[in-house]
Amino acid sequence: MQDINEKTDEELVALTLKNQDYFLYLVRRYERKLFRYISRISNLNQDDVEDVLQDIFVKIYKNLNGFDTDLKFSSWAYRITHNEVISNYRKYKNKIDVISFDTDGNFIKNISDELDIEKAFKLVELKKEVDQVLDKIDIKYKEVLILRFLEEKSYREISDILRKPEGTIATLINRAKKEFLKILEREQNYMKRAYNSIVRVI
Amino acid sequence: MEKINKLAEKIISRIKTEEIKPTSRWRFVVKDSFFWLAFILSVVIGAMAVSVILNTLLNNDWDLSLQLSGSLFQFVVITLPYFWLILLGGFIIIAYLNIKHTKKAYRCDLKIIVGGVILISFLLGLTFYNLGLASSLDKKFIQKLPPRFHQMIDSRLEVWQEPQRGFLIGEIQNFSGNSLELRDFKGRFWQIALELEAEELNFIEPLLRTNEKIRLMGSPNPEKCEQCFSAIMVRPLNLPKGDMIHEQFREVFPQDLQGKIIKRESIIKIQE
Repeated sequence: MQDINEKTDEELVALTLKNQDYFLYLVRRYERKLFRYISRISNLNQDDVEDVLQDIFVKIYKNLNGFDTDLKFSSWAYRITHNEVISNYRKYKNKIDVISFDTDGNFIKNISDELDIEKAFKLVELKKEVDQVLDKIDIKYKEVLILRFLEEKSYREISDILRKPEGTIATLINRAKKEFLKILEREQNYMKRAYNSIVRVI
Repeated sequence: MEKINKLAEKIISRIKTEEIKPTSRWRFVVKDSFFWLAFILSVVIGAMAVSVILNTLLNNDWDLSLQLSGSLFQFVVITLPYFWLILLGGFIIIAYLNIKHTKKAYRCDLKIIVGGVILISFLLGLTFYNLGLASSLDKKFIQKLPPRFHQMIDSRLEVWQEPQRGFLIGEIQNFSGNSLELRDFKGRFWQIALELEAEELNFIEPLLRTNEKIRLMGSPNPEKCEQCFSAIMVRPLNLPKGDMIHEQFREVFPQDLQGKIIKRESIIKIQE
């Protein structure tokens, strides 16, 4: 087992093509990451995410011979996951019953590193609102924000996952950050107005 | 997360139960090769279109633009090779769509890909043109099409289908001495009297063969017969490659051609 854990993803792919039992180790390596990614991008509930994830792993297995070794296996697996989720996005959107976004401290930390301190402070204060903001943002911005700040992928990896040039990814991330702030400020103002109205009534 | 722990086993069990196998490597190779081949083919067809566009533009009857259309601008508008330009545009798009589906193309910027495709098509088209492929493509392929398609492909032909204005185009049925029989693109037969200088006739004679398509400038001769035409200038439908032959034409049809045209136009005016 120790030996298997030391093997790279690419070595495991080669082993799986000889013996399908090795696929178990690849699934174990990626099931949590991809589960979290699907949840973040689709907002599906746990059971639905599990079903989607099963289909994605079967797809990955079927396409193992098409894995381009010039890419990182994780980028390739994320690409398949992304394509599957995005192509069924509308279908999934109708199935959402609970909006629960797994925004951990990392998201706040990562995005605030790239924004100014004042806004970062506001962000920390409004941690709970991040879920709602991400849910309101356009999917093309949401996916790059998730990949960059939650999945902590590099520009090259995001480029490989979304099949877009790195320059386009950089532009998308910049626009996404601005859009994120715009929605966040709108939400903030809305909350302030609501709070003031309540205070006046009281 | 407990559920997830069992997910890996579930997936492996599903793969085994449903006897799912990885798709063969050759399928991926074939798919990738298909996109590359389709890309290369699209670029080659685009380049052929470029060579015909160059051939059309460089061998257009610029020297007769005023006589044919009244103004240079109108001549350009009428004779631009729209069919080939649309074909070129179409194949640039097809080439782009194919290259986009190859493994690494997404890493390049759209502008670089489209610019590259246009540049390759142009350079290859220029090579084809210099190798004389444009005129042979025209001869071997386009001229074999029924005449009604000719004008669609070669918009230059429109201006040559007005015998009443002194411009006639058609296929030689037979040729002897100073006369020939011609069938125009509408299927009408014309008796042509060649009113050429000896030097002009000697130059053009090798091109006057049965089934050869030619363009004539002159005037209708209704006194002689209803479908009679006197030609003061004969040109093949498509000049062989490049500028060279055009220069030869200019040498053989020097300044006095303008005099002839003016004379002919006065004749038409008198007839009118």
